Amino acid sequence: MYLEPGRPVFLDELVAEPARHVGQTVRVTGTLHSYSPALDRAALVDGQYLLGVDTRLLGVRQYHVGQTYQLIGVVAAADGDGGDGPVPPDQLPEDARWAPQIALQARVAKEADGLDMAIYRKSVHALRRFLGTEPQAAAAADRPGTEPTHGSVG
Amino acid sequence: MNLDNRACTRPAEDWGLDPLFWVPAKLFVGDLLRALPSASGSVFFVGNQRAVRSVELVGVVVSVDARSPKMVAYVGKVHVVDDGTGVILCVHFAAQGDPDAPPRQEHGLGTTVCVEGRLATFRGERQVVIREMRAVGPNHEVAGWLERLSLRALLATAPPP
Repeated sequence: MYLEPGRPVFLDELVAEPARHVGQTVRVTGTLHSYSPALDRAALVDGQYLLGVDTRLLGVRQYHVGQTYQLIGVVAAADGDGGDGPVPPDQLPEDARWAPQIALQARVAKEADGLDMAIYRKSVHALRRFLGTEPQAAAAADRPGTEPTHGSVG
Repeated sequence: MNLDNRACTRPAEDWGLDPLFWVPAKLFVGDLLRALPSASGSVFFVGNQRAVRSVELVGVVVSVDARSPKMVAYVGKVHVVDDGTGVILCVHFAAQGDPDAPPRQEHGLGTTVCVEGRLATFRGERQVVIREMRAVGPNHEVAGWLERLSLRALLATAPPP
C-alpha cells in the first residue's frame, strides 16, 4: 500500500513544532479562514493557530469560508519569503500564531460541520495514549501551566 | 501500543464458541493489517487468541481506484479507507447477472464511511470485502474510535470463552 495514513494532528502542535512534522502525513481539522483560487492557497484556523494549505491536489471544488474542514495531506516545507509559500491572510487577530515555514499539501478534504471539537480533541488524545503515539509536546501541552513556544504573525 | 496477536490454540470446531466470531468486530485498520491469518486464510486472530471473520471499520475514503473497465464490471471501484492508524483496500464483489443483488455502493473522496465486511488477503494484501458501506457523519467517526478503544482493551487481555 503506497498511501500513508493521515495521523490526526492539531494545528497548535504543527505551529509549535513545524520542523518535526515536515514529511509526515497528517489529518488536520479547522475552520476555513480564507481561500485564494488564483494561488491555490487556503488558510485553516483552530482558535488562534493558523496553517497555510496548498489546495492544488484537491481539484476544483466549492469552499465555504467559516466552514469546518478536515484535510489529509503531507506537511511540506514552504518558502516563507512570499514566493511560493503561504501568504498571511488579512484580518487575523493580534494573537494569531502560525508557522510560515510549513504548508499542508492537502490531497483529501472533507467538510466536518457539526463536529464537536472538544470531544474530538479528547478522543484523539485518548487514541494516542492507547496506541502509544502521544507526542511529548502534546502531552506537555495537556498539562496545566505549560505553553508551547512558537512565533506570531507580524 | 500494538495488540499482542496470538493464534488460537483450540481446534477450529471451537472457534465459533467465541461470540466475536459471529459479529463484525469493531477494529482499527492498523489492527486489521496486523491480524494473524489462519491456515485457511478465512479467519484472523487478534489479541489474545480471538477469532475474527467480519469487521467493521470507520474512516475516510482517501482513494477511489476505477482500474480497468473489466475490473469495474466485476468488483466496482476499489475504495481505500484511512482511519488514522492505517489504510486498507475495500472491494465490493457483485453477483454476476443477479437482478436482486443490492446496488454497488460508491463514495467520493473525502467521505467518512462505515464499512462492514469480510476480512481477506488477496495477493499478499489485506482487504475488506464489503457487505455494506454507508456514509456517516464526523461525530460517528469519533464515537467509533472510542468504541474500538474499548473493544481493544478487552481483546488485549481476555481469552476467548
